[in-house]
Amino acid sequence: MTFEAAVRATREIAVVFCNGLQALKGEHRSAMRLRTTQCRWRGSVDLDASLAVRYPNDARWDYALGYGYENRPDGVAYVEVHPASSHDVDGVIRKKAWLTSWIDCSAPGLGRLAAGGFHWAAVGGIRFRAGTPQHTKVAQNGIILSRVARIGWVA
Amino acid sequence: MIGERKYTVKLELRNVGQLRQAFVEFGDLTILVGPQASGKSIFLQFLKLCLDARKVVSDMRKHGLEWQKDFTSFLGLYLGEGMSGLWSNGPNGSQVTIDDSVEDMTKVLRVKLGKHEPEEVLFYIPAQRVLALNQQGWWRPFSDYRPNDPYIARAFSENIRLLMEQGRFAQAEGGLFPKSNRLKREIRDELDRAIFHGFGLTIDDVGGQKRLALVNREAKHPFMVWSAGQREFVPLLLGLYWLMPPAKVSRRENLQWAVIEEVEMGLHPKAISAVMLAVLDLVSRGYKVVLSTHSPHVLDVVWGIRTIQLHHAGYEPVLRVFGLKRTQPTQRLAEDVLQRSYRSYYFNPVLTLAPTVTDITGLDPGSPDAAEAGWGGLSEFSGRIADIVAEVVAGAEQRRPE
Repeated sequence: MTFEAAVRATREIAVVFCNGLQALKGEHRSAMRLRTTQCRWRGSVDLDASLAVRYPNDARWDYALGYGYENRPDGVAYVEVHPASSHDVDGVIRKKAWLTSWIDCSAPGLGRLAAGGFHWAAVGGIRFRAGTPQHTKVAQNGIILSRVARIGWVA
Repeated sequence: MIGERKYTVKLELRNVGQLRQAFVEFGDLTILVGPQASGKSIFLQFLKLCLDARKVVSDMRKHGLEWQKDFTSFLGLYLGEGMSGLWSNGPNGSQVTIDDSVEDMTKVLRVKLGKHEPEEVLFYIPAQRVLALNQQGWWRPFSDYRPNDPYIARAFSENIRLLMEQGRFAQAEGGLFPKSNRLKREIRDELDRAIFHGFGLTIDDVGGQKRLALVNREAKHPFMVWSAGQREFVPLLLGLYWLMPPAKVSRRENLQWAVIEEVEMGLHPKAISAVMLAVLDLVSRGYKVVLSTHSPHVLDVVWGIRTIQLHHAGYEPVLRVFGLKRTQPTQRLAEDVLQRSYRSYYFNPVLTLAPTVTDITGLDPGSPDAAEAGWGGLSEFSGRIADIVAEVVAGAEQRRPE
């Protein structure tokens, strides 16, 4: 299944599929990078904006990004663009818990795509260092923290 | 010229041993990080030589060391055995630049000594400080070392021995720690909690032979049963005593600089915090302090203070960094350290065309410069593990059967 097909098969976001990185706010695009030159963007969805009416009080994740290599199934990476101070850690972990629950309940098609990871793109830099309990907690929750999300990894 | 400066702000070494180009602009507190044998200690010993050439030459001559007007022989004695070869001559030879002025280091061979003992500008607490104590727990004289042991180790040992024997820190059988007129009470309390745990450091007399001992009401512990951290810390403590005179004098008049190598040696992070508090006290007293370290904890402190400075957050977060209550002295100390400058440098031993020293003062964990983001390798390994763990966890969560 392609990323686009998985999105269109997901009722809650079926009509918000965008080509390339067009779903992203302009200032967020520079925080996304493909890992290799062979990798291509396969589309994007602004989850936060498109699910705001249905889940107004939930801690919503920002984006789902499709990527792919020639002759291989598409993958999906989820990116949260957020400041990264130690005070933000629990909030981002809550968003990720919401996201995985939403995928399980409402977007099984996305869940079947190749796994591209959960990325926290730290706007304004990272305010805690590697090795601190906060950094460890982020990693233990399966979130890859970096200033620029590097997409294209396949689990 | 060398030996006549007190207020150096920049030092550059080129082609000295493994240091192809090492440029450091000093702050009020400067931190040097880098793996073993990356040249940090050589750099610091050259700083000492540049500032205190007359004192170094005087000490070495006084103890009978002779170098036959040959600079490489001099370096072999000053830096220690096997180090004379790090100086080279010729067009791409070794070069030392102080504050943009290239220095002729061989002038050290022509230093003229007067009637008076030269004053020291830089007090050097070396990494080998534990060697300053013999097995009985007393201070070794300069002559107790081999002639080709590093000068900095011998001189530190001799300095503290003389001060102890002159009774400058305590009387013949007096207590050395805690002492009411030494260090701020809050720093003493932190050091006690982190390192001594209620034991006092005293001079003990056993059959006419002085030795140091840790004592409380129930027990007396001689040097050989101290913990590794206590053995490492006691010479550092005495060095701090010398730098921080009692009563209303905030610092030694002639001393402008303090160098402490591997300040964290043998210490638990709690103890490192306490020692860093003492280091900041040195900075607030007006010393230019240079530390070398392998501890991310030391850089944590500098990173925290710089961030507090950047956001004009005032003294209160500084107190929280160290878990200190607000008292007049702690508030004054915290306010003062926020007025000071902090710089950090990474000594990179990799032999590439890049400079061997990188300015990582920003300490930005998200910096695109890997040296700065990884704090000169101190947090790089933790970061790599965290990234791998995150990928493994995310991969397991996202992987679904078709």
